[in-house]
Amino acid sequence: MTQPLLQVENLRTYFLSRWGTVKAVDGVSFSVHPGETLGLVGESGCGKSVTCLSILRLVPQPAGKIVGGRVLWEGEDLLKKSEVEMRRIRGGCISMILQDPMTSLNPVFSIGDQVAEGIAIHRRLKGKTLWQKTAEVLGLVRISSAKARLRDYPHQFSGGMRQRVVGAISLACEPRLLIADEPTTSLDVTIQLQYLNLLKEIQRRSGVAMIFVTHDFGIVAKTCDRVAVMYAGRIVEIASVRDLFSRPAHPYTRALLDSIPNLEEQVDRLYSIEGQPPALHSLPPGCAFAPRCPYATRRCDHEYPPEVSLNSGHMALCWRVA
Amino acid sequence: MGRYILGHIVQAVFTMWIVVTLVFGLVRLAGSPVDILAGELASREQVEALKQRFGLDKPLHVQYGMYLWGILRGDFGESVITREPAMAEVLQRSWASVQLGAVAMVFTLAMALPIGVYAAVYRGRRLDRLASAFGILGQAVPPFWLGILLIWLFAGQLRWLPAAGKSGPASFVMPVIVISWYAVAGIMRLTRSTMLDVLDSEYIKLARIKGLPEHSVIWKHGLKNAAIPVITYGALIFVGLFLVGSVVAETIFTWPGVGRLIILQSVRFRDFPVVQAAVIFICFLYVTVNLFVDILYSYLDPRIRRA
Repeated sequence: MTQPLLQVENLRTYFLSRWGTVKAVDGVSFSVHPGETLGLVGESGCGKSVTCLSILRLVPQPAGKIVGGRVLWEGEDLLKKSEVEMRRIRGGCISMILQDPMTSLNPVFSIGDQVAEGIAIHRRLKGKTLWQKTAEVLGLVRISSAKARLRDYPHQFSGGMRQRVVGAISLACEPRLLIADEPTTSLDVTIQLQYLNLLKEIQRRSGVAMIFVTHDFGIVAKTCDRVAVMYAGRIVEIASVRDLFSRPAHPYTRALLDSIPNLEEQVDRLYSIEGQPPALHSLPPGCAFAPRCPYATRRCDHEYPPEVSLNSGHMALCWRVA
Repeated sequence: MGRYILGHIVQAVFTMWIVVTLVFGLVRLAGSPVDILAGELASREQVEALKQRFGLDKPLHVQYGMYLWGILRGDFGESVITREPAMAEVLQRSWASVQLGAVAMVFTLAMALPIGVYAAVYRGRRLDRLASAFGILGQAVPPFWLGILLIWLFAGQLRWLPAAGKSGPASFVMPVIVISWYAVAGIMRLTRSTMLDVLDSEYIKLARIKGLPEHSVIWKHGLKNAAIPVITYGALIFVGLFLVGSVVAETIFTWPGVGRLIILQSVRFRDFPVVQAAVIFICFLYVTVNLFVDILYSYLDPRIRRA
């Protein structure tokens, strides 16, 4: 395999709160190779977004703090970079699409200004050429008559169009890695599909690698090459999409897959995982999923399970498969 | 954009008409000025003569018409005491007030905006806590008391500043502090809280993701969004500054402004044309500032521009 573009090693991001230290990300490791799409799946609050923000070193300050690990970008540790160097990386090498298109554009600046801003910084373009490039980028995400709409404001755009504009902002400087943090969650279902197709098409053309955060296995199946399943701040299973769907190893992954309703079956009640995810400030010493796990043994409650390699690229954190 | 501004000018003119009419009514409600002017010992003929002079012998609607027509020609009557045109008297005295108000305004903005923004950016740190303490003091300490305290300290004990009157730049220091004190605290607190909301938003996150430098994130993307509520509040306070400032500060520091003119002379001696002209003038300022703010909004917020 080629050298990974991004390699996250044992990343830990904690938040200091009134109730104690919240271990939002607690020892996460994964890698992303050029051109591939890695899915990051898990319940709300399991640390997906914080993992993404940690990569860009944009964890909310001063409450949040990256306390350990390494984030290697082409072999260089981003956690050791200066703020000025990080700014060149953000938008230039690694970019991100946020979840809510209705709030992620600045209401008081025109669309053109907001797209041009990043290009001006990273590509050092000015005046006419900058405006030209901006219109070009908006055309890329299929904003019709882009040039005429540069002076329009976000409130004059629909939700789907705004999310495409956000996509244009993120892709404007041809980053090599795009982090998409649930980019379709707040879109209509029909618009969702359009948007996913657009991202895939751009990826085919530019070869950008993606980290795709979602809790929708349908999207995972459609867009991702590999999947990482997160639970309570840790990755509990990583596998190729095919392996994960056909041979899920971790009981949590299995439970998630079982929760997907099947149209062919007639059931009275939909399957759901018993219990609640644990509070991240008082995690049990053993496996965090043990209290909800149907296969849990005494050992699971007291000892944290090891990483178990099942076959090439398939890893799970569980005593059962050890 | 042109239509938006024109619409607001029409509204402003309409507001002024209401103000002028209210003043007309209030002055008449306060009783006939003739009784005061003529005194208790005046004969019936003298009273009639005075009534005729002020047009008070005519029916109300005719009086109102004459009054409006006078205002349109810039005629606000003449001072009962000095026999000078009333508005000229007010304008002459208001220059000192406008100077004081303008300096106070600049001082307030220069203090309140940066402190408010930095308090939000460095939330919970020493600067923020210091600013909060100052904010509470600023809104709790009454200006007249602060004024007397300042005079005692800087004019009485230290003898650094003149105690009263308008002379050189040094004479501005204490009145400006007294006028701005409350406004700085209020605007600073509002700037801080709106900035906190704005800094927490997704578009600020996206601005950072783009790789923008921090000063651009805060002062361009942040402040332009936080500016709208701050300006609304600021505009109200500024006019308040002018009124409260001109009455309280001008009285304490014997500033030769329009506030002292109204309180000390015109109201006390019932010089009703001057009171009337002064009230209309202050309302005119109020309406003008609001018109200016409305136009400023449309520049700041594109959503307002289209509405």
